Amino acid sequence: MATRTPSRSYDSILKLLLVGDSGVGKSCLLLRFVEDKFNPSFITTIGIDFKIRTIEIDGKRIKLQVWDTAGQERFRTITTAYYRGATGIILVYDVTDARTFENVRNWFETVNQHANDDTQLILVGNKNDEVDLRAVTSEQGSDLAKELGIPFLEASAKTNDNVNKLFFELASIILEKNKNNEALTGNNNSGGVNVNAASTKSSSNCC
Amino acid sequence: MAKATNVPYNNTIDLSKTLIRCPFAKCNTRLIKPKSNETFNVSVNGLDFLQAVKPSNISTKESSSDHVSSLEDEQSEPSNNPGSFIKVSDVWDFDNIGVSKEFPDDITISNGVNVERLIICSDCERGPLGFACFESSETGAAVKDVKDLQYYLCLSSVMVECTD
Repeated sequence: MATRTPSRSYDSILKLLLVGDSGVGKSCLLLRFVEDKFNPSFITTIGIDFKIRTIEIDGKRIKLQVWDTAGQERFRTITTAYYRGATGIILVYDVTDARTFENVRNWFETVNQHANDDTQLILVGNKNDEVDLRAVTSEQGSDLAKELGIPFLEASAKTNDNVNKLFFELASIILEKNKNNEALTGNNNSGGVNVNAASTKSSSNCC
Repeated sequence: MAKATNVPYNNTIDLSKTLIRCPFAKCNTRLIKPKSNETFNVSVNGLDFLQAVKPSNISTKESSSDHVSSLEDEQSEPSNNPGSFIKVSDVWDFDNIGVSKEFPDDITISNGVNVERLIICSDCERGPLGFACFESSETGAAVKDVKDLQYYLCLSSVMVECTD
């Protein structure tokens, strides 16, 4: 292919953030805890701060940077900084734990307080592989999402079911929304700023 | 088009004409397209990076042909030798990469700089494939901004696909 050499090898960059109660499996959506002897235990122990993933949508290369807020739910100031730069926020609850579902509204409010107005939200019911333990039905999830006016998906980080679809779908929605908006093109350095905003915090994550 | 072949890195390869991929045949995720052929020799004592090719064991055993030059599903041999790395100053240059939280142990590289993070394949999560550090001392110890991290991808941890 005779393409010019772009200074950056992507068309858009999106910063996505996982939020929700402790234990809903946010980290698992980012770091797959596969029963895998290759996954060195120290990486699992240290944890993943963020991942860069490149996906292709309509022939465009989209770079996603996915951040986990694991363990930082308690620190409002920290998460506020996280919210601010996010282009997409994934509200996660655990389908086997009704309490985490009830808390979605609180998360929704907090996020709306702190995130940018154009930040796209998506509701995700995690652990849908746990059929026997299910406490929140798909309908309940879908109804709440409708009420909040955001898309809805169920996923299983354990089986990796829908996890890729989740990121793909959120990215597609954001791109569709911003079709005529140059703010998300690769020339814009908002991604870098986002990294900046979030990362000072992650560096100081000591627990 | 002929099927792209992954080979272990050697210094006759011009990296600017390659794609760097996860060494595991079943994963093969594209990690980065290097911008230049510049490499750095760095020794990191006390930290073992994944070795894409086992030195003692370029096996003639039962392995199927498409696995010959890639890692199979077994543990690789760590190595302490100084390695060749490519340096990546902007994390967005990676196509796929996982970056750990702060590395708790006190490990320094050749020039006394601290290893801050480890990097892994963002898909299969194997690694470490390299590390990240803060290089300029100008920023001082006060504020460590993730934006300033410099990434070093270990060339013996990956496979390269020649594109030209």
